Amino acid sequence: MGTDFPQTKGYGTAAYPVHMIADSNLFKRVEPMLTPEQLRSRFLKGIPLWFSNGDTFSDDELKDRIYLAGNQVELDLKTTLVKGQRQDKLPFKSEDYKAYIHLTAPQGPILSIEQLAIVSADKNIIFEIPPTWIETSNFEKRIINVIPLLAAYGVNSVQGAVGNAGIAFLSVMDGLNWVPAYWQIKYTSGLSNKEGLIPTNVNELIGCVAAIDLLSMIAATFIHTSQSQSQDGISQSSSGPGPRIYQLRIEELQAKRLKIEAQLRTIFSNRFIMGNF
Amino acid sequence: MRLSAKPIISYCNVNNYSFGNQWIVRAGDPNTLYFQILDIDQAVNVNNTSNFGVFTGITPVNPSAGLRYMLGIGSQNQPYGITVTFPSLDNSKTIVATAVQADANDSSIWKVSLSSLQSPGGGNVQFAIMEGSVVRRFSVMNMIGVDDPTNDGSC
Repeated sequence: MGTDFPQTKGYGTAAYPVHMIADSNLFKRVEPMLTPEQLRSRFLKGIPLWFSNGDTFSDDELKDRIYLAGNQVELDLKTTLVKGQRQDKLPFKSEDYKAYIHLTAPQGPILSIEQLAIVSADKNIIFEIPPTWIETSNFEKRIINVIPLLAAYGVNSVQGAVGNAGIAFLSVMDGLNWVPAYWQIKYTSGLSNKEGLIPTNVNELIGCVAAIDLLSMIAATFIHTSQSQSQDGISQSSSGPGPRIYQLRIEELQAKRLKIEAQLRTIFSNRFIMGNF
Repeated sequence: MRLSAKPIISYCNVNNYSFGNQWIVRAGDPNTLYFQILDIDQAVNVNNTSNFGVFTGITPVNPSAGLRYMLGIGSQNQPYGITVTFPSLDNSKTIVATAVQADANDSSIWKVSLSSLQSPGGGNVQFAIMEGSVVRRFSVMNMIGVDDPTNDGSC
């Protein structure tokens, strides 16, 4: 694990809340990863975490559930909870090129970019975009732009040009509309700039996912909806919801999960609403 | 034999300490972090299997995570030591610390000391246990949580 960053460029603001540069510290919006104690106190208060055969959930097993839920949340949100470095190749599209090389990274939110270059299929760097040209303010939406306008103020060299080798690649900008793998980007993405801290709402989402699974497992062992016994003319009976015992709680958690997911996706990606007007 | 480690959150001596699920520290504070080495292949199942359960109101006893593992037992396991790594994506922020045995009488309990300048990232902690010529490595998931008192409103 570990990567050296010979050059890196970010926007310099927090990943969450987006673009925050300072806060009053009067209210907390981020925290370390959910712990078993927090899972119990926030989501499972009053729920007996054991089964009729004596099985129970130990703290280590609750940790495992949190780990599974965390991975599920990464899939649901299509991002990583902690930051990781990625390398992707994106296509050349003429309309994006005309819009200041409007690239959308496959993963986001982007925390920093380490390289933006035209790289050939044999992995030679043909042309590396100078970091000074890269616009970083839309990184939370996964958008990378290149605005070379500041060249007029004194940038007079381009890094990484490999002699005449790039001519063929650069010329496609005029003649072709589409090249499937053209721009190589190396970037760091994730939900947190600070390792170990994640947005509180993401923790809540992880807790919802873990609690739904736990409640579902426990409820399935409540096999009886009614029980009765009688002896010598005396009888007693009771009835209950059986395996649907936690159904209402599960449904509430599910609704909460979907709501938080939708809100986080709104913050960290572009949502387009299309219709006929 | 698969080794692991369990965080100790309050340590007085080898006969007086308590386990936690996680070390919780504040970034920028000096910290001494205690842990015990366990052999998780020797998890002691003390669970009562006599079919009592939800209707008795008795909470079953949790199985232990594993039997404590004493380092350096036997001449072939000499010398011995533990290196603890707090990883980071950025190499410059990775902390590698040498653990010290907390008490000469118990080679399963160790500690690492972090200065106020050493601020670990929260999450997994990696261990390398050296005994003689053997090195055993493992990682403990989400073993440390780090509060950041300087700017806890954003990440």
